[in-house]
Amino acid sequence: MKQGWGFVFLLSWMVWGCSEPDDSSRLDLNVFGQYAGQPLVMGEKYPYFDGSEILFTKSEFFLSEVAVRNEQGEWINLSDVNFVNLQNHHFNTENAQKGLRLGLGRIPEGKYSSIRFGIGVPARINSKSPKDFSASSALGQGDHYWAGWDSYIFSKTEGLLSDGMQLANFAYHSGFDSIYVVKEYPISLNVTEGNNVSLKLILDHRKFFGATNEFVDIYQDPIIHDGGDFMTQFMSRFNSALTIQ
Amino acid sequence: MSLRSLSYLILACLIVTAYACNQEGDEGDLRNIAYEPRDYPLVTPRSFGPLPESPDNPMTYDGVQLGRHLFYDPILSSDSSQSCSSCHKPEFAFTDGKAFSTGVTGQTGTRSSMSLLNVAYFTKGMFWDGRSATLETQALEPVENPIELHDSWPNVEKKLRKHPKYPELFRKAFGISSKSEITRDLAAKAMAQFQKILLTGGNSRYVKQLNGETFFDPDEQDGMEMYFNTNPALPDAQCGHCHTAPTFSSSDYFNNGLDSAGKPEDFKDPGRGAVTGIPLDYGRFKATTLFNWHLTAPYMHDGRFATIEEVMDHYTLHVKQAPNLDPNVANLKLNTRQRNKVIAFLKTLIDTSYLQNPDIFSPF
Repeated sequence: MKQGWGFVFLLSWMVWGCSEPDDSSRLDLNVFGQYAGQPLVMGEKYPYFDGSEILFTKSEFFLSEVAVRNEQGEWINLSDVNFVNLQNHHFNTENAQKGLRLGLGRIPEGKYSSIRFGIGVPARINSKSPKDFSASSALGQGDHYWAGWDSYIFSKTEGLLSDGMQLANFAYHSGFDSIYVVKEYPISLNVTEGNNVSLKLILDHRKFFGATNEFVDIYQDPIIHDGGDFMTQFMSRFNSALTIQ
Repeated sequence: MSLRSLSYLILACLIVTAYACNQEGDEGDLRNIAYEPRDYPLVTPRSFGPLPESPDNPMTYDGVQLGRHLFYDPILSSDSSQSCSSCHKPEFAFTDGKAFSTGVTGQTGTRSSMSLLNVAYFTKGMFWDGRSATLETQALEPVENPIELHDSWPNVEKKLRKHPKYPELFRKAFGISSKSEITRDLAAKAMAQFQKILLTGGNSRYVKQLNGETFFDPDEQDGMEMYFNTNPALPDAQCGHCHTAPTFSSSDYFNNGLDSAGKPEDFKDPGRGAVTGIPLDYGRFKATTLFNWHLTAPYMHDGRFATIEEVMDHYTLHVKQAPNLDPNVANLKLNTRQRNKVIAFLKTLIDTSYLQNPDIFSPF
């Protein structure tokens, strides 16, 4: 009997010993939807610039070509296309405070000073369509593609604005290659062997709509669904609403 | 031979007979039946991508055939009067043409029988409210639902094990060794495989037009441009946000303004909200495929609209407000002529070529 246990122990040790040591680190991006610096909870009302109340029902976007720059100035590619869906996560305060974890993959040991990514998908992906991908992936689902544009929908921001008299159901979608911009953000990341690390991505939805002195008249323009200036400006503000910590 | 010896002999015979009967009943060895799995020659509609992966349930020819038998066999119901096909008929795009279906006990439900065409592409749950994650788990529900087939899986498993044909079909589909290995999970997997072949759309005029094989008339063209909002000179009909190409459906859930609600619990049918508990999900339902919509009336999850014209009237005139109303249906501004052009485009989504696939019909 003792010999039997000894054999099991030996076998276990061999199996364990033969396993590939996994000492690389994982980088996560914790995404925090906010409104004016407060956790954004879908369906809850927040004050809009004009005194109306705004609530959000949908906030989702693609985040692509994530790379980090190391001390040698080299860019290390981490993940190609990610999909962030806040409406299925930020439905209560607890989740909104915790943030939505997005795994960006393995990152080598070292120090990193920048991260870069784009909101949307790059042209090489945008030239394809859902039929080119498995329906299991976000890129394979028609919900994230607008056939009329021949483009993936880079971001969707939807909700409701009301001042008690007027009411506007808004939907601001973006797409087109011209909208896609890869932006670089400074970070200070020290990755040591085997230790997972994370960054915070904060997206303040109030900033999508402008500032106190100049803001979107949602009642006037509840829908943007073409590739005009409105969309360009909206996405420019979207990118500015984004900070990395 | 003494009486005692004779008694022992009879007892021994009885035991052997009982054992043999049992072997033929629940425990029968099936290993003498060939198990030679081969891929089902699935052809997805040409404008669609690959089906979502299902590594736990690879499609085989015999798996589909078993699912087909189960789908059409009233053995799954408590009184052997109904099958899945009672509410999902091929000629109605796998609906039943009614607002509400009647189960074996005569009870009716509160939701319309959903089209099963292209359900294989749903990735965020099955049923109108997504309460089953996959086709495999979905297939388990109707058997035990009291307003549908109203049986129990232990009883159905027993019936299938004792059936003269099913043990062989299960063996061929899944390589089981004995009748006792026939389970609800394998039955559900087979029915899921069958439902994955219910595909349509690739031979529609819409897809032919995409491929340059036909041309739209001006009304159809205008209708498409409104559907996808590609012409600034025409209003946005907003349809394409929920019924998205290429499947003209969505895995997602929407409140399309059927009922007004000031707060979530005001919805008569909570829809997706009853599944997730998320307030914004109340009153949201799945957007089914528009391919072959002409066969799926009455429309909506509760079959409230008899015609496509009524559907379009709803979207253009009668959308009801709620905090989670989909903004795309809240801003529709179409006149009657434009409405009819959208309907003209919808007619290009008709593709009844799925009815030419003999595998989708009853094997009985």
